[in-house]
Amino acid sequence: MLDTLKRYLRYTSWPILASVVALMTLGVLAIRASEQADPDMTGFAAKQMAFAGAGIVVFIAATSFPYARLGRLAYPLFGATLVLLVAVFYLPDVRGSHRWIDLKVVRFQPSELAKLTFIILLAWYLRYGDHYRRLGGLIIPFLLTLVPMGLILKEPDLGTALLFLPTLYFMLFLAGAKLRHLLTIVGLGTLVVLLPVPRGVDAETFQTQRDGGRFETVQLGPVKLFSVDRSLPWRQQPEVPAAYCRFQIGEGRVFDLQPLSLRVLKGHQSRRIEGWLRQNDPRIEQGKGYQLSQSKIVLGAGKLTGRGEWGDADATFRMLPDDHTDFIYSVVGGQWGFLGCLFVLALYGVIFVFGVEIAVLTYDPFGRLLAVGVLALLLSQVVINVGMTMGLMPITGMTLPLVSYGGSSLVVNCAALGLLVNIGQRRPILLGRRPFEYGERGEKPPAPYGPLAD
Amino acid sequence: MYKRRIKIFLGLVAVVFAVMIARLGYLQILRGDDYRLQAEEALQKYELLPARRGRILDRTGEFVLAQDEACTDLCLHYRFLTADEKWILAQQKRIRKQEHVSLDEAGKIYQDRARRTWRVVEEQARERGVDLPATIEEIVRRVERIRAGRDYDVREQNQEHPVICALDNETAVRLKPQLEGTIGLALRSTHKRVHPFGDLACHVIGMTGRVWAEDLEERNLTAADEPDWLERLRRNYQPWDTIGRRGVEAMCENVLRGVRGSRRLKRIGSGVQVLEEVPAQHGHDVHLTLDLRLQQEGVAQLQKGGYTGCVVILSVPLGEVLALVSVPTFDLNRYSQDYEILAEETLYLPLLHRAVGRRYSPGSTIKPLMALAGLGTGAISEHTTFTCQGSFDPRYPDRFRCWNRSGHGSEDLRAALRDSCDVYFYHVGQLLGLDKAAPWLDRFGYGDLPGTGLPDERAGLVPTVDWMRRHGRTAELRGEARLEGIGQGVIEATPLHVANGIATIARGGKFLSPVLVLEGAPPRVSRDLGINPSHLRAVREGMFQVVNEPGATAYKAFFGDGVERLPFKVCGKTGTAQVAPQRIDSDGNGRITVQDRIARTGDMLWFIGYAPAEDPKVAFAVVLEYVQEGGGGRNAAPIAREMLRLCHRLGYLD
Repeated sequence: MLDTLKRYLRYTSWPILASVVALMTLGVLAIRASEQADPDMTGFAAKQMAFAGAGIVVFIAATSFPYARLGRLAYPLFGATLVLLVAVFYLPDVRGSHRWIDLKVVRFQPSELAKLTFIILLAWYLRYGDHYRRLGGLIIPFLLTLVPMGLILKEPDLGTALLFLPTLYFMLFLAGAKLRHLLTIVGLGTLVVLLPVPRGVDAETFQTQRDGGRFETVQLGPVKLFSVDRSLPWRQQPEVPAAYCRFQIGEGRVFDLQPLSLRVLKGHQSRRIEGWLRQNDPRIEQGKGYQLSQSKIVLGAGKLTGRGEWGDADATFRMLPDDHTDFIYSVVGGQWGFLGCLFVLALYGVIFVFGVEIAVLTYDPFGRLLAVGVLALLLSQVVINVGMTMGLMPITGMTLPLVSYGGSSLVVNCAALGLLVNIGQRRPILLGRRPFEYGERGEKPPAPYGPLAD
Repeated sequence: MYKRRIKIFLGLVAVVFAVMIARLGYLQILRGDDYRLQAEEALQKYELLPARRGRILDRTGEFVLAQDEACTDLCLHYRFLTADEKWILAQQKRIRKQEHVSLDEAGKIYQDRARRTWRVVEEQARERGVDLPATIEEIVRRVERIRAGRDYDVREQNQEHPVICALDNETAVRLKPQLEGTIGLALRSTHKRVHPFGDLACHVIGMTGRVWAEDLEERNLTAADEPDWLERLRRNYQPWDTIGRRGVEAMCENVLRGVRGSRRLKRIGSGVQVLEEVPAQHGHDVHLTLDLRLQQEGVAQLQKGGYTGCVVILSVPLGEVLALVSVPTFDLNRYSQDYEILAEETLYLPLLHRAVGRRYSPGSTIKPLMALAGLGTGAISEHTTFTCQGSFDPRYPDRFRCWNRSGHGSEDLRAALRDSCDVYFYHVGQLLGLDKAAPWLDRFGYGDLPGTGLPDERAGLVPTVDWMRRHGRTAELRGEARLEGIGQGVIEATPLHVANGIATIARGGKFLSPVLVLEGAPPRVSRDLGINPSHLRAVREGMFQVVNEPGATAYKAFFGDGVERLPFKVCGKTGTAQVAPQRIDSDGNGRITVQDRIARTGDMLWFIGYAPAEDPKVAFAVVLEYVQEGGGGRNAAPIAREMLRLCHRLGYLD
């Protein structure tokens, strides 16, 4: 028993655990900062602390059993997740979206759970064989992705849904799928997303936009192309939706040629994308891009070392909506400046570096893919969230793992990172180089046993 | 392969992190100061300070005719009006926090408070006869219009909007404790236009109202294109601003309105701090040239006789309008409540500013002008005589009759004016012809707007041959010329036109456009008509005889039995214009035709003139509409007499 504990402690990846705790602590502090800025908010930091405690417990729990057993549960777990994802649609909605299951004490978000069961399933599915090295073999992994993704997209929760694609790609890539195939699929996807589709503009809207400013027209045979006169002061410029162009054939209806994705997305989603694409347009900053421009203000105003003596910090934080959840990184930036932001990224960096080490040192295929999946999931979340707070990505509802306020996300991420550490604990023992095996071309010789063998 | 790929993965992480760090460096280090500035700017907000509208006073400055008075509006939050779910939820959460209850209970408390709000509002609406649904609909419509074309929330959506306006102080004080335990309800101090004299000079003062987009388009008021947006906000009209709709309120809008002030505030924590304040420039007062006592007397005189009509008094030397009475009147303080009734009164037209906005046939009051035209063009001389046998052509006694069927016999100009002989002036009209008479009448201002600048003004109608041709009446040219000689037929003018024409004669042939306000009046027209003094003298003598010679048309009114004599001499001219009866659209086809029911019949009775005869100080015109029995001398002249008596007492004749 004592021996097991000793070995447990010895093979635990302490840098990862330390980073996890540090990130959660920073999260609580940042949430407290945003809470103090807004007198209408109370109790968030305290609750987050409770979540963090639960996170630690889950983290330890996730390291306390041989991870390989999880593989056998992959299909039942995934099935249960799908059931929950369907179930949310039969539960009352919260502000128009079906994301949560109310457990009275806490609200649970099945889509967060889906992230984890999805990578377990995928790692389990891809662990042997090389069928995915053929284009046809990619069909099943994609199907396994699209089903939960579609359900989550329907909630609607665009951010979480979009997370599945990069995760899938990283796992396929590291499992050895052909780059050619992967790139072909990306290319086709991009074409579909950007596919120009005409959309009729109703006459009244067109007229008011016309009255609002000047359209310049170019006649190309029977087709008349419109472009907005950008020389006007922006207030007088007509507001035209994001589109490739606006045209009219003969004297008929006026059409906007828009990318397919903008047609499919919900109104607020395409507005956010537009707000992101036209970031420096003051007209957009007041409307579609308001949250983004506020986020950049909060982030940028932190300067090098944070708020310091800057007295308006609280009032500025207050003007940023969702500052304790999706935009916590902006608060980190406003509170502790560039150095604080760098520190947070460095902590994630530590997790990646030591996580990759685990993924490399593990020889079990399921373990490898699971480790990669956890890392890919984490990377996608960090990039999408941090990217959106600083205007590198469009705004999608996405938490910053371990830092943002929210129990489901925190617990699930802790569980995922716990599994990562778990894999590390069960890697093969490397006592040293085997005699006379010098490991040509950097290859390390295989070892027969893991430190915490089953 | 796996290891190479995992290295690529780690490399990708490095690249992505490098990009993010670079972006962080750009945002926080390179542009950090910018963003801090932007943050400060975003924290600032602006508040507009209302400007008080100027007062309207009479010429003495003693009597205030219109002024802004503090009052209170009962306002409802826009999101409460539209039952915005998000807002309601936020309110419930706030209640939950304040009262430390569950969200369900907070919901109940919210319902309770909302009910109490509606109870207060509905009670007030009932008391004041406010159509609540219509008001709310209007508010929503306006805010929607502001919001149109924007996909973000506008300020108006987060504001309280007045639902019940102009509560007096007493009610406001009484309501204040009732606000406890309501939601979305606020009392806002504001001001309303108060008219201490109610209906006196109501047409001249005009009303004010909330500005509409249409007002701005109509009057080109959106023009103030200041480069500074705050300055624009201060100067330009905003929804809920007051604008003058009619009368002097509209005419002197720019003088009265003033410029809003503004206040730059900064949000700090839960409160605000004032950074900068630009005080409001209140509107300037406007002094009318009207003397309220004359105005009052004019209304009293017309109402005593039960007449509808006008009294106009002009000061001769300056062309100032001393009285501009139009009856029936309406109470300006109750205008908005009474609007429906007033607007539907199509028979007596209480909203019509008759003195400048209704054209009447001038009847015999045009004769002095025709005489001057005839003399000026050489068509007649002072001594030209025509014989009156009761009609223009004795062979046709029923065509172009004189009012005196038995005829006046042979008369010269003075006698013709004294007796108001129609036959004489048929001749004058015919000798002149329309095209020679028209320039003369235009010189007296008949063709233009009366010229005070009131928006209610109408131009007179002076027919020319060309006009007749355009209206397909070339066959009647000669007849029309004769009729014009006695002021019947096509020719029409407002009472102010007629009064100013007579003032021009009294002034010795100098035309001045009348002036109604001492400030902000339009540029005045002043022209010397170059009338031969002997012609003037002849006409003025004729007009003197009208009043002062026994048997003349107005003699009885000034020198009859039981009439207290005036201590000065008056020159005048009576008129009795026969007009078509007024019909109302009884068959409801939207047009007035001969099939429609006759509502009012009778003559338009005039008495115009000036006093004192030797050194004229005031000119006047009195019109009575649709009088069944009587004539200008019998009905209108006594009113003028009493007005002159008051003018004398007030010192306007000195």
